[in-house]
Amino acid sequence: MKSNENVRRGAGDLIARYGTLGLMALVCLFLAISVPAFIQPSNLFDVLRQVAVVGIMACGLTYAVAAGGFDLSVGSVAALSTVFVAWLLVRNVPVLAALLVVLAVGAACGWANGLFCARLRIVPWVGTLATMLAVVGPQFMLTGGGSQIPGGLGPKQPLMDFLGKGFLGPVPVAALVMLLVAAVAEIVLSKTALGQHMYAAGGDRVAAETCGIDSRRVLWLAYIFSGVLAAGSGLLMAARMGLGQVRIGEPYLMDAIAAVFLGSTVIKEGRPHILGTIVGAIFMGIMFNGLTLLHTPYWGFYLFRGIMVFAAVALSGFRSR
Amino acid sequence: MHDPPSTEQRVLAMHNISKDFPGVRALDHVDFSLHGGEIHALVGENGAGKSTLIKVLTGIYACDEGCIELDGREVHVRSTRQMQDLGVACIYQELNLIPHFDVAQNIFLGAEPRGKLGLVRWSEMYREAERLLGTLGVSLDLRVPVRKLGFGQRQMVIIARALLHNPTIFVLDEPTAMLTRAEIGYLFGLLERLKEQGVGILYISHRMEEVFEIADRVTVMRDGKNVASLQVAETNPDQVISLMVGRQLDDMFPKTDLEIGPQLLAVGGMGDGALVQDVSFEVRAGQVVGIYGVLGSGTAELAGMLAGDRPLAAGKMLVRGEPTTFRSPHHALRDGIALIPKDRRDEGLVLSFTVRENMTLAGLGRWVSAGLIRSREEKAVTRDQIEALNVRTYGAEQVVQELSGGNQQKVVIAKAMLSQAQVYVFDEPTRGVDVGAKIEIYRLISRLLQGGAGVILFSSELPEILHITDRVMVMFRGRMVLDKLTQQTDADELLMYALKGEASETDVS
Ligand SMILES: Nc1ncnc2c1ncn2[C@@H]1O[C@H](COP(=O)(O)OP(=O)(O)OP(=O)(O)O)[C@@H](O)[C@H]1O
Ligand SMILES: [Mg+2]
Repeated sequence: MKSNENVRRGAGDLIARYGTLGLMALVCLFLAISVPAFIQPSNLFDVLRQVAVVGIMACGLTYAVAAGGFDLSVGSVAALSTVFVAWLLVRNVPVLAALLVVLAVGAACGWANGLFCARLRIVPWVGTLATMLAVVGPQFMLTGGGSQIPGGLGPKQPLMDFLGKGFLGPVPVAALVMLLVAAVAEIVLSKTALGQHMYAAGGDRVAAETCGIDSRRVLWLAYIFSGVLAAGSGLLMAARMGLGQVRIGEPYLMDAIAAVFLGSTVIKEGRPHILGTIVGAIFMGIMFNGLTLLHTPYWGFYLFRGIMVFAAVALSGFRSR
Repeated sequence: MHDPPSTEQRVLAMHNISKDFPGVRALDHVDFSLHGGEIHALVGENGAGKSTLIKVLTGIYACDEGCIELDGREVHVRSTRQMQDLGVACIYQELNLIPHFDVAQNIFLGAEPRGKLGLVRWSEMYREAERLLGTLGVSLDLRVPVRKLGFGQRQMVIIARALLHNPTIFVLDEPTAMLTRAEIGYLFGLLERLKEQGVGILYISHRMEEVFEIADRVTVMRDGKNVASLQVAETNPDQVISLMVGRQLDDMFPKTDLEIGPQLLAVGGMGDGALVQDVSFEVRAGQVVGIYGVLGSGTAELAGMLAGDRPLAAGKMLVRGEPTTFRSPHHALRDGIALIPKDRRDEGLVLSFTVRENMTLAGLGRWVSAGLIRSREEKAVTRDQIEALNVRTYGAEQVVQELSGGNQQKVVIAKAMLSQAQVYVFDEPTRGVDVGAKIEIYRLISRLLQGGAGVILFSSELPEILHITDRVMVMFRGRMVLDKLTQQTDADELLMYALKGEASETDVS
């Protein structure tokens, strides 16, 4: 038996694989021509710096989606992290310990999501929505009802400043952190058996299980990864702002969703992957930067966000048919 | 139970196995044994419990009672992985592949070669996959996602996956249901080789001729019980069938002669620009048109085109004399053409729906008044269909996912019948259904004909084609090479045309 259907590489296939990248190139070209400030290296690096938070959060979400779940709580968990790390630092907890504790809290949130959605098999939209709402509570508890932790991040925090505001040469440290996280995430998802099993569980749960894959466990782990990375993105957020603020992370959820779904249309065949997610996040960052440079009013951003999420999901749905 | 002949090793013994599902006792104190170097066939009607028995063996289901011995030692089955490590490999009735994974990834699913840090060693994986397929004598592009492969090729991927672990027990649940003759021959060769190597093979099939061709022993199940285990050499198909159904079956192919009515569907010069070329024929009321061809001859594509699943590149289609084009199965159905697809799991059913919901999905409009479903009527109709097709289910509200494979097939057929089409396109309707249901399906076809419908039957079973069609056509490399009244042809002629595209002078008598 010969395989008679070779992978087609016609024009349609090219558009499907590289269409999103092409579109991104067109947008850049348009911006470069209409707003010359756009292609200043300093502006481009600034875009990268701004993308870092969403990029890391979206990497986590990529795991949840790849394994057949979804995670609405990432924005909320990130906000909790900003508040919690500020609360710890203000109380003079050593910074490394504070970071680890906050990441552990993120893991716990992910574990709870896994309990609802992987173990008890509650629909992910509902299960993670519960977490999303529930973690608002502790935020207000920590601030004592206010919207911020008083005292910023406490006394001088060189490490936090370095992460959030530092530069290595012209390159913002935050962007480097994102790339580092993405590189590790990419390896785990695409190069390890665990990553392969996550895709399998997301692709066809029954089939994966008959191959001896514990689909519950891998989905659960995906939620935990998602929680940890959400907490990580919150830490970066706190470092950049120099404070912890209640509910600050929620708007990022939409951007992360758009990044993941846009990303699943990049190069590979219609499934979420880390490289694509990062490209998607950068694409979103470029668009927002462009809107700013073009002096778009505030409400325009909301409208645009909605359109992007819709377009991203529609594009990826079209691909995976 | 009788002792095994000769010195063969008993590699598997299942004692007193029982398994209950809500509402049914799927296995009722079943004993079963398998020797190394033996092919043991397991037969029984749809829902008899065959698949459940092997799922207990492979660790998918835990049994409620009984014990399993491998090589004389009792094992406590905890997971599929454990049984796999103990040398039990299985090909399930449903092809379990991850559609967007490629061939090699699917073969190694759950058993990826890993290096340090759990990293997958991709190059080793592709090399091994290549080697493995080589020993099976199959050449496949390892990097093609399996959703782009045909059934036969997918089956090979699954077989390669099963053989990856050098099993001592190899279980196949209806592996031939989707295969062509040539592919079946190939599979049998492979099984003979494994048998010589001492592998114990458990083989489930509904096809008697297969059982008598390759099996050494046959075990018959009925209603969750083992009713007999026999040496194949000491029995015959009739005995096995009567053990299976618990009664004698006489009329395998009921056929009533009907007036041929007006033309319902005509196609002229139809083609898709690649695999189907210049096909013309017509279907009349009360007529069964059979289309026969080997895999790759274009029959599958033609079926897809007739049902609106595949675009036409050339030719025209007339429905009751009116020209029409379909862009989707929905359009086809609106014009009164219903397809009963062969891949029931992917195309035919919504697995999470109940039997009733599935059956009435296509024709729901009929039970709606003022926007509301008249559920009493809907339920009554569903009950009738369950009875007519003898679907083994504890009720109309059972989720179809829980039905046995053959019973799912019956639901697909019931669904199409309720869509009130005028032309029914059956694509291998009797694959995977038991003998009793086969007859029921033929009866239903003849009932459809009496109701003034026309039927197009794609089938790879020559007896079926010869017995229930009025007209038969043979496809070869995308073209119709033969079109005759069924009475004027025979199996040899059909086969000749299907394989060669013409009758070779020397062979025709
Ligand atoms: N997961 C399940 N939940 C509930 N009932 C089930 C489930 N799986 C099987 N059954 C029931 O158990 C009985 C035996 O089913 P099984 O799949 O073993 O039949 P089978 O002999 O393999 O039939 P077929 O030839 O149609 O494949 C059937 O009545 C079926 O409806
Ligand atoms: Mg079965």
